[in-house]
Amino acid sequence: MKGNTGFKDIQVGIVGLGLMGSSIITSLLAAGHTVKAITPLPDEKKIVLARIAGQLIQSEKCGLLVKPIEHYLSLLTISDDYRELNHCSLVVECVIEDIEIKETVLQKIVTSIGSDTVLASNTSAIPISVLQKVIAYPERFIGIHWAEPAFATRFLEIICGEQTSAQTADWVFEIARHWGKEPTLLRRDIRGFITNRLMYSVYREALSLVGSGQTSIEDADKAFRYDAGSWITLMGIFRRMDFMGLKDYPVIFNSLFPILNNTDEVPAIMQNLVDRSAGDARNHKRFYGYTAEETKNWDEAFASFNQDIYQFAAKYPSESMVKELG
Amino acid sequence: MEWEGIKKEPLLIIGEGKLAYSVSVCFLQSGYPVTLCSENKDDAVENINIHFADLNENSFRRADWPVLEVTDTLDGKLHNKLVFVVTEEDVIKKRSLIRQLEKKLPLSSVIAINSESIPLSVLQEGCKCPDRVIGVNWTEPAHTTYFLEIISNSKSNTTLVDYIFRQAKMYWNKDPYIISHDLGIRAKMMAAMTREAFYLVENGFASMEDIDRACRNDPGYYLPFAGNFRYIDLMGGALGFSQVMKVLNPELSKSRKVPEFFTDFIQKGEQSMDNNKGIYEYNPGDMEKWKETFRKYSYQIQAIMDKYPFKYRETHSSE
Repeated sequence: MKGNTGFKDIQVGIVGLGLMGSSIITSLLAAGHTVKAITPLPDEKKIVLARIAGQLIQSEKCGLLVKPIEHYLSLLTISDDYRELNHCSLVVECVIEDIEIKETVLQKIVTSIGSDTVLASNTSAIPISVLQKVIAYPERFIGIHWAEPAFATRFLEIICGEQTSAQTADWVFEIARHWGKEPTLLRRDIRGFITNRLMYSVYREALSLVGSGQTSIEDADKAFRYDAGSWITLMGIFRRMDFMGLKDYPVIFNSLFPILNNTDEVPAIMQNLVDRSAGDARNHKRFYGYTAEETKNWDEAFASFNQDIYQFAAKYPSESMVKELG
Repeated sequence: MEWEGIKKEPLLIIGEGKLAYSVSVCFLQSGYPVTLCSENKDDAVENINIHFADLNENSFRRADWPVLEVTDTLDGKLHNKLVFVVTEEDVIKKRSLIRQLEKKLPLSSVIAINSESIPLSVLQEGCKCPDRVIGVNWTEPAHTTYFLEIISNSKSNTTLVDYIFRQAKMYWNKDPYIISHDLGIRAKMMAAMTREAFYLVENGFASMEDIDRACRNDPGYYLPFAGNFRYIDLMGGALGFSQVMKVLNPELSKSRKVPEFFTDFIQKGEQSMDNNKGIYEYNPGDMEKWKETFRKYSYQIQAIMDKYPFKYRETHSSE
């Protein structure tokens, strides 16, 4: 296993250059890595380059770059040849959430990497222990889960499968800190990991409330943006309960847990949205309606917000904040 | 209309602790004379004064301090047209307080009471005028947040409910919503999130620190901008999320009760930062530091939220 020094000089491979793959590349470039990006689609190259260049501009505005953008772009190679991964110390798979496709891609990567390369999957839905079964060196296989946009958040979940070695986990944890992340290491593997499980639980309940006519999509959004959105960048849910006082919570939860929605299915509202808008490229499966101009406004606003919140969160760095203040 | 006169009429707020204080400040900053009925008068005055100093520091215009009266008893007849109750989640205490208020208030006064898990109909039971008992929920700190949940049911006087909604929008600096089905939605959504967090902790998948860090660094980086459904739209729409739901939903917690590890904290008397005991460990003075940090943070996050309106032009829900 590699040492913890000189992280900047190691090469990282990314396979799968969708939205997530691109923003992970941007994050790695900003951390100073040479990045070998692999896509089987030659047409994708131009689009991906333009996207990453745009994200580097955003990163620059966030104050994350110390050199000109051209420097970071010169660290990137995009190719369809898996042999490019040969000298990478870490390779991350970011292809779509389809287990067969992921397994095929992982097999291809394994034949192109060295015996001490750490191999990671960016899956947010497939347990690492499942994917691990098809890997020749399962102890070097691990899950790394970014939040979008990867270059402008500090979120990172590192997930060990049953056969992942502690050494691999520790190495990824250290390199994640080099990337400017506040990583969380999960020693036990579970589908969806932490935030997906928390937020999909909220989606399930909110969609049930909308489906039964108790509220609207818009009001459910108001509830969460104005309540949780007003404190959650500073406090997680447990810290918030400490802050408010714990006494009322068991009373509230013991009344509400038995009446929460428990459906296993994709809620009807969600399914109808997916079915009905199939083939409609303009309004592809979205909850609100958008004109082209509104779509543009929202995307620009969110990009600008990403910068604001990244800088803002830096003022409130961690759970041990009280100690740091004191 | 009859209720128009309420606007800057004196308000009565009844309750203990942080939230009752910040609700008072919410109305004081909007120019309403406030009477706060609270057990610990000194604590109330001290905390409200701290908020007031913050307000002067953080707003462009110097706030005028309207009349604030802090009392610990409800004496004689009351004349307030609007009363806000911000008390603990205890059905017996809430009902007895409503009873007491009914005896003291004119028939036309509104009783706006907070409740997370007690249906409004349960609070209305036995009331002389159930139509004027309305659910109103806040989030701490009430004076810098746009959250307001108004709860009504079939017994409610809809004119009063609409009136509260419009006043909140126009004068209380809120972007409220109305739930007309007896029980709020905010508490249920938060309960769903917490139920899953309990499951992860109870089964050893993550520590409470891990969960808090994940909350701050993932939803903490988009919830101040967008609610959950707007966020799904921004992330490319329902298709990808529905694929994850298909495999993930069957594995999410279905628990019906709070796990023991959590109730243990309370049984051991570790109830909040206020007595330096809670889920996390605190030293003397930590609560003051957290309060100070959160006060500063609240104005800053409000400024960020102000930059990004809830809507860009009128959009139409596709439902």
